[in-house]
Amino acid sequence: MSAASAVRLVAGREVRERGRSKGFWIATSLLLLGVTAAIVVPAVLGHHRQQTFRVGTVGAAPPGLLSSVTAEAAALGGTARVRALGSAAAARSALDADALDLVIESGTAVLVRGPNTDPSVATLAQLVARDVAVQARLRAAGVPAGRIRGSFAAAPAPVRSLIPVTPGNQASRAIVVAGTIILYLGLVTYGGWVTSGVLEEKSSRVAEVILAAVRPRELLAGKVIGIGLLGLGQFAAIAAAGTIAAISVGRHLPPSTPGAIGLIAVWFLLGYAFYCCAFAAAGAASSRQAEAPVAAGPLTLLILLGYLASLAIQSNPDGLLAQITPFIPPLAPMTMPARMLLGHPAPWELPVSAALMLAATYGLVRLAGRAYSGTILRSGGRVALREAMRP
Amino acid sequence: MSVSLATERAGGPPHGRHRPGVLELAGLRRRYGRTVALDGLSCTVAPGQIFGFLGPNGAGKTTAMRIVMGIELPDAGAVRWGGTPVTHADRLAFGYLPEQRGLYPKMRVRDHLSYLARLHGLSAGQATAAGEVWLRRLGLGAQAFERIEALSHGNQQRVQLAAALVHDPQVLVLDEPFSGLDPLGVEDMAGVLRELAQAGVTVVFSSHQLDLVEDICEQVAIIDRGKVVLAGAVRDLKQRGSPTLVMEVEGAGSDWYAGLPAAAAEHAGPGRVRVMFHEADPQLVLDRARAAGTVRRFALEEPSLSELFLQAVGP
Repeated sequence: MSAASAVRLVAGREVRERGRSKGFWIATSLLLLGVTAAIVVPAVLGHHRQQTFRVGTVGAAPPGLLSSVTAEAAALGGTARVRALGSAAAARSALDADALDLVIESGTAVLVRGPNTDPSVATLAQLVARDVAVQARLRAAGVPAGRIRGSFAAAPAPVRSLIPVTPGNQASRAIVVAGTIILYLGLVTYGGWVTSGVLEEKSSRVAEVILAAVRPRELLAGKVIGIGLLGLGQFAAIAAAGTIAAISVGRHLPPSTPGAIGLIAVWFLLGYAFYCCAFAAAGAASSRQAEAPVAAGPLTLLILLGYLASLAIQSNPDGLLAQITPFIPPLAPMTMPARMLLGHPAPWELPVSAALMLAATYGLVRLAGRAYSGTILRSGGRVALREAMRP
Repeated sequence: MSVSLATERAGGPPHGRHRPGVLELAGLRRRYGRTVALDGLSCTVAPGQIFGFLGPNGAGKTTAMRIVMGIELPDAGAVRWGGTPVTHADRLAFGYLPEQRGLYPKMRVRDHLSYLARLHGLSAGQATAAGEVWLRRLGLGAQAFERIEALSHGNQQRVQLAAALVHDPQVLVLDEPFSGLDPLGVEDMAGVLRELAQAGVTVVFSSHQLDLVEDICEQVAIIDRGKVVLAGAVRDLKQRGSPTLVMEVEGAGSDWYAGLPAAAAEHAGPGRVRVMFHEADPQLVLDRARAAGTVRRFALEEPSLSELFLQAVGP
């Protein structure tokens, strides 16, 4: 029997047996439900609800102040509802009773409730206070009321973004955020499956029966390919569910969406290929289930580091981390998608990052494969790395 | 586990080589750190033979069997089958029962057997059929769809044996197949091995219980500290060894054999004493016994394998 058919048989068993387990289907359903809910629920609840700022005035407000309040509220993405109150005491008690957000007293001072004010209310208060102060100075300098009003009504200077902000790149940011979380969860989960699957074969001693028929590297390859296929299937199901949910709630999906999902899928595969054999070696080096997470600890930590770096890159996709981490193979699977989809990488960056990744994968698979073969049949306590590598 | 091997073969043998070949272990050496497990072990097993690989615990039996199965590599020496070094493809025609038994606990019995059959090269159809045949033979038909972990210990052992046999091997390597079996289980297992050997399968098994298996094997290699200390047909070995004279005398004083070279004496019933002699003139012993009491038993017994082993390794 050829090596390829041995690998196919082992992978087939892996897919069949795991596909039959209730745990797999429960986890898959929960993931699909979670992704769908994350898209559908905000859309149904209307996440773009405008904030209404409730503003009270006491005494005579100078001309122009009210229109500037309305303008500032609009700049913060909300509307202002202004009402005049009879006395300062009435205004304060309304503020106290949470019936108002802020009070303008006689056009000279701005009052809010307390230090824990809603940030956008605090911002509006700052802006209004500045307007009040500037208008008071202009009046003191003898500027006619009409000109004061006119100068405050001037259209604000347009702010242009160097990176065009379009519904398209808003959507791809959402894909990167969700994709990175799925990548992280996927690598840690499937890596854990590989570790516990290898350990199950070792601790149940079935490995010796299997290894009488197939070579260790065939058993290893079949196992990681089988779990990888299940992982890829889960990933595809999540991507499909997410896309269908987004379309059905009327979200605009940019034409780049399939490309973005594809890119994340490719990096999932590269990352899985890089980590899977090391996870297998961690399983083979352990002899009890309790030891496995300890042996796999450094790997999950590396993946977590990659995830944290990716979060930093999502907020600064052309920063230092974005320029360095895609070329560190253990971190690249988590960081390169964010760099590619949100930043402005040079054309050489993707091929170089992928090439480094593949070279490192080749090296690690060889090392981990050797460690796996050296330890899979050794029982009794954890096997030291150096001993495992001895031919 | 009554098994009839003459009938019901599941499809044709799947493996490449169909030749009754001599299995030869030639000068195997293996050390683990400072421990020498095998120290130039050599022996030859003819096809269709039941070959006992015997010796005390730690003698190197498991290491030698793992090397035969290709699970471990020797530092020196070779395993040959039919005159050429055993290849990975050859080993698909070998069946193996490891000392540490184990199967996938969560897999269903039938699936497990057909999976192992497929790993040894059977097609999907042949594998399923072979699995069912073996389940029926071992009386596990009702458990076909149960998980391995749900079976009783005895049934797990049966499935483990079926796992070694499901692909219709030409060479069967069994590491301590009798350990943990009750006397009936030992008899069943011996029956299975005899039938397999009659069907032309080369059966190599190990045991540390020499006397338990001396009736089962035709040829033995007794090993100690990684080397063969005694090898050959069980009958020849026994005839070559010095026999024991066993004498049971009734109504004699316990000192009737004083002055004779007795090896051991024991109480054998009311007023009866059994005495064993290794090197004594039977005529002289008989004369003394008749003078002392009534002779109830007078026999020359062949040495047991463990006695032969002790003689071979010597004090």
